[in-house]
Amino acid sequence: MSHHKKQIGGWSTAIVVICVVSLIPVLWIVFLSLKTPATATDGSFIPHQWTLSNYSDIFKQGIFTDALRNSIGIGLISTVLAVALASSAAYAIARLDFPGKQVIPLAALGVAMFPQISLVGPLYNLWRQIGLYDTWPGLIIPYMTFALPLSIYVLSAFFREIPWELEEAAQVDGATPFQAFRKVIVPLATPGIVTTFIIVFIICWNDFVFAISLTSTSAAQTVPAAISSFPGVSQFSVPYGDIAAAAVIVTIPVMLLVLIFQRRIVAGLTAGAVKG
Amino acid sequence: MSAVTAPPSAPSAQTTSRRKHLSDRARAERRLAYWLVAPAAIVMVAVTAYPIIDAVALSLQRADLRFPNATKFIGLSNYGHVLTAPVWWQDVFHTVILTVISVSIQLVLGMCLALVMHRIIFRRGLVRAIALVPYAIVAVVAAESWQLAFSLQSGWIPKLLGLSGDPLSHTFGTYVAIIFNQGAQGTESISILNYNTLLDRLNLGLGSAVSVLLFLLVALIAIVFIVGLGAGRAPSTEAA
Repeated sequence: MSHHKKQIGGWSTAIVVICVVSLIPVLWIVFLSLKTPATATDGSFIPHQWTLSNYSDIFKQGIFTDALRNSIGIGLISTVLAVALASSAAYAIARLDFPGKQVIPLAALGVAMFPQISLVGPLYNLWRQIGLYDTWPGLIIPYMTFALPLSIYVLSAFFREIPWELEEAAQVDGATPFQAFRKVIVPLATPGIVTTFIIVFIICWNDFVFAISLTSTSAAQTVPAAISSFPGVSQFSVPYGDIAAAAVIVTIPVMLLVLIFQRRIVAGLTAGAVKG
Repeated sequence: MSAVTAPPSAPSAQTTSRRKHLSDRARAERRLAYWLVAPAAIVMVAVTAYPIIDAVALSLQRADLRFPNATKFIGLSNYGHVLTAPVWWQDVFHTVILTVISVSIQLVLGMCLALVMHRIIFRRGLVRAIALVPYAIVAVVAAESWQLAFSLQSGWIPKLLGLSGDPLSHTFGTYVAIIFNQGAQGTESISILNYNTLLDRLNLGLGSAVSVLLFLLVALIAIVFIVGLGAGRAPSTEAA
């Protein structure tokens, strides 16, 4: 009995350690966002003077609100497109028989491993020539492309897990093919699609390399790029408080997504991991 | 990469000869599969092919935005420049060290984390969500805030550890900092070098040579992995 208790104690300690380690970076950014500009660099973890002025500051600057709009729009469109294209490809890879089926995941792996920073320069030149520089499509196209390999991987692993015989079983029981698809297959496929959607959205939402290189104004600048151009008090001072406040604001939607769908994300990650 | 273009186009000679033996159903299935895969494949090829070709072409030229009229073909001499520069080898070294150490640590910690997560009896959802939260923070901000936390004058980490020297001015300290937050500040890694040459110094030719070398390096690692571990075949073996 006491042995059992000791074991529970050990696991609980481990859990507390995990929570603390996970939360320190988050807390540090939150605290930084609540410090007054004068005390931001005073070397303390917990603020001496608390303030919300950083938050009201960034919402007064058009640069942040425009970037927020761009981030949400570009992130959602890229994610929807990537997941739609990847779903159809993953369905074919998981369920249909065709020559070249082995090649697609390999080619996707090649794209995924290509260093994105190497493509930024040529894309920058090309976008300037064809007028996509500093536009929404100019960011949506690369985001969608680089999200595809991961999406195809995760989704095909998911789709392979679905017991497709259920579809036939439903049809034997009198369902029309469409009913069988909608009432049996769609619910089974949804967790995989939701997981992929969230992972892809987080990647687009947090991207910095493409955002800073392929945009220049509030027409298409996303939040990570805008954060880097926040004006400081002087040219040499970094506006840590504003940066941290902006980071907290943009982390909230992602955190909500993670909280709502966390069970599915974890299931999705393991499904991909075990198979991959 | 060129192999991806094959499926959506016409079937090769070998499949035409086999086509007679296929049932209508199998042929229809094949056609459906191509239609389903084509959009994703075309997008990936279309968006990545041009930049790759362009990078290779640029790397063979003297192309410098500061001297736009002096652009000309100079063969492999950009590669010579990069490969003989000590800063390239130094950055390769930094990148290898950082990758090896942080991947190993991540693997070990990840295993432990997974084990603990598996054992959680109470509040499972909450703990899982907490563990996923750092994943959601914008990476640039994380890097910036850690730089502040590590800096000698104004950070809390040197104070906490009782350090007297600036940790980021020592290579080892920076390694620790980077591994901790996966950002890159004091120590230049290859991709930063690439960015600096390409955009800050406006030397497109030299920057492209760095890009191509970087890609070759990654491709080499990938090939070693695929051949060595059969990693690339894993997703398709089961269905085959």
